[in-house]
Amino acid sequence: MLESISFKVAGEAGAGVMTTGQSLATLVSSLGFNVFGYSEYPSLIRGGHNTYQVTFSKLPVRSPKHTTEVLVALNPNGIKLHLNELTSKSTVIYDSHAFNTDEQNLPAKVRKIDLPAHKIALDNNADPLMANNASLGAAVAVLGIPFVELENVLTRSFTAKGTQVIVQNVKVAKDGFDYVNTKYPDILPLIKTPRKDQLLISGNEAIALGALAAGCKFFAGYPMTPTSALMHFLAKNGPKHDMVVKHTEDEISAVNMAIGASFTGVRAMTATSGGGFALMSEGVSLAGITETPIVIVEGQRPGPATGMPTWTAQEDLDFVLSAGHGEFPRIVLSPGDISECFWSTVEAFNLADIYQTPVIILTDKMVLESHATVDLFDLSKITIDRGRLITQRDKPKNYSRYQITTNGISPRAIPGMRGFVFAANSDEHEESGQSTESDKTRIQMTQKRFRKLALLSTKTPPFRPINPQKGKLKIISFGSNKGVILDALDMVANKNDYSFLSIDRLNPINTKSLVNYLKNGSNVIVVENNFTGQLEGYLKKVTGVTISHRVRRYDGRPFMAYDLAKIFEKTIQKI
Amino acid sequence: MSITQDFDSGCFPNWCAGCGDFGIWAAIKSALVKLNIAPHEVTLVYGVGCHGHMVNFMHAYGFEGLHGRPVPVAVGAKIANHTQHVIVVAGDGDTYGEGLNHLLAAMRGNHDITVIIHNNGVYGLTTGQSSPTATKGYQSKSTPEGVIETALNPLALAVISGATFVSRGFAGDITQLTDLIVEGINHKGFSLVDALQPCVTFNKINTYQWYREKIVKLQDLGHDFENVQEAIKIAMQDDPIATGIIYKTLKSTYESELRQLDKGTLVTKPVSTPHNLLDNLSTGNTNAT
Repeated sequence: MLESISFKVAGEAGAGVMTTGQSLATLVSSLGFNVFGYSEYPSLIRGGHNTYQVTFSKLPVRSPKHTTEVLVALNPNGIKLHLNELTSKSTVIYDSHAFNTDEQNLPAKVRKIDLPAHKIALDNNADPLMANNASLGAAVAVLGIPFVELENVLTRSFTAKGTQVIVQNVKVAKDGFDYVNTKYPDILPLIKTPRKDQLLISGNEAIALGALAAGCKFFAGYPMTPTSALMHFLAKNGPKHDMVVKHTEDEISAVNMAIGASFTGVRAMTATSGGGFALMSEGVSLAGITETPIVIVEGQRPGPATGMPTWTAQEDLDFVLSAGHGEFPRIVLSPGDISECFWSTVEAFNLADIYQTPVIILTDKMVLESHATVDLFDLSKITIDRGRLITQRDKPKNYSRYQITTNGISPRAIPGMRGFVFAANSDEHEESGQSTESDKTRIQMTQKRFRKLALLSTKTPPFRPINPQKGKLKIISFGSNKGVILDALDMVANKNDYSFLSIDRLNPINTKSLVNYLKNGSNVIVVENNFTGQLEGYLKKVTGVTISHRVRRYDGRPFMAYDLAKIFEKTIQKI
Repeated sequence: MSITQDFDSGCFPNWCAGCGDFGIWAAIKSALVKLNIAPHEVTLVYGVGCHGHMVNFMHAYGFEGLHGRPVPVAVGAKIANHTQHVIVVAGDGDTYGEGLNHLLAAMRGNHDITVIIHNNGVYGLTTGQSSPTATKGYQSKSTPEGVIETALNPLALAVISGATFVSRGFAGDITQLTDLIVEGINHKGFSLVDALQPCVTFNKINTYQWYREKIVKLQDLGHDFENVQEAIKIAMQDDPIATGIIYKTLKSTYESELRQLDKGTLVTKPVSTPHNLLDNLSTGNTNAT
């Protein structure tokens, strides 16, 4: 019996690949499986090659699997480009009437199901795209899942479209299901698992939910892969929680508008990718000197410039750590998985309010556009801390917006309050906010702003690596590589030989805790998705430790757990 | 009740003697007094340029942002608290040049803000280079052979871009400029007050005298500011230069179309976790829709 199963649907953009894949992901999630849904697609609306892969298991799954057990091919490339993923346990479902399938290309060991999906759709007077439902029904039969489970999922997803649409979709799926059950009775035995309440969400959705949970009421953004879906989710779901979502004319406007809303007292956010963040960087600097709280999501993709818009990378670490002219404190978080996306976002809003400075959530396509099952977030664990925000009940007495305090944090009033009138100023300023070019004030204000970061440094919790003492090889990464590394550690020969630290807070970073983990760096491997080793360089900069081993991938694809496991095993032999 | 002194910060302007900024500063304060707006009831968002120094001379909520970017800050501030008066104080280089895209977007949105532009044809703070409203042929340090481009026509642009109140005043006529700012603030929707302003240090052509000889007042001409064709005709005419309300119409404002703002401002809504946030999201809940 297989521990985990990977289902993949592959075809042209516009052929319904995503919808079909996500329906299956929803189905296995509803059965209680742990699910990881991963998509690959080009920056095109029609044509090109799209895939959606659903890996599921009753054990944890945190990354896409390197083999495919059930492949639904919607065109010749759907087979050709995935031959190396097929094993003796694989089944390929295709429709030889829809496209010319050269069966000779399929390895003999693979089970082939020639499903007349288009004919089934036609016989039901359905749209040709609905042939995908027949394939879905067939896949469900192959997986040994009772049909009623798929019927439930289809009914739920088409509720808004009315009974007729539901009935037709279900019928096409049922015909696909019955076709396989009649002609190919030797189905895969389904691993059973108890049903549970869980969410199947993307990183984008987790961040959006985190923002709503934190009481964020204003989002301004400009569409850019891979964070567009974050704006879509908030635009649809934000208004019922009193959020306003503004699609702005550009990213410069987005960051400035969010700053204007935050200055006025509303928790505000924007999201973009590297190119958009480049446009925002002057605004990041503005938030720094005006001490305006703001949360910015930077979803990385391969650059430079337009690069490879729909793929993944970790190329903006150096950029995000230094973006914006001049010197000012910034906080950079790097959630490692979809659950951390939610909690990091909640924390980001508190940090922004407490330290009155920009907070950047650095993430990437791999985590933002992938789906995974997570336990329902325990909303009772959320605390909201707005920092030194003045209320109208406070008595105005010589109020200074930029009062120099021992910890650097000044009391913050908001426009509209009687008696606290002040101006936030992008010029260097006195405690009152008045512009100044005084050398003495300049020094005081610079130090005041950086005292906030020093304060946060003392409050930054130590890292909690996995197996920190006994590991012969210490793995270190940031952001989305957490999942794939944990999956790789489930594959290596002796798991106890490895330690693992996933960095979820890049700045300020707990240097002491980091040094404690890295020691002299001689048996450490850095895993990152870039060419120049930005994480490795940053670790060297903050700890002085030279690290012995590295693995870098910069082809736009995420690491595969299977490959990493092999690399880890090879590396450990050399130590 | 507010009086002019309420808006004095105690810091006297460091603009050049005779600068048009003084007249605009005076007109803004008079308009706020006329409207009986207290310093805490208004947010002024400043751009960067000589005009931006006003942040230091005005006692009112203020935000001095980046060059070219005051408009989006103001839009964000207005959406966050639509009961607060929000005024942009910017320059021609700032908002007709660097940040023109934001101005167009805010006009299209008919956001309920007032934008007052110090329009003097030059970048005064950076020593007098030509601005987007400098006339063709204007010689400056950055254009010693004369400006090649056609001058931007901000008023015609405003009329065709969705602004619902378009006006032009003159820094040398504080009474009229005050009235235009009052009308602009009172107007429900996007209002533009383009304030012609001599730069006494760098612009030796568009002087007080030059303007006084060319200006005619629209109220004396019986202009129908509700007529869009007439408005464009007036805006396109450069001699004489017409001041007053050029165009005015009523359309729903951006803020009035946001149902989230029906029951109060965003800033007064509780910052808390919605208890129903995850309702119906569990895949285990097969009864959910």
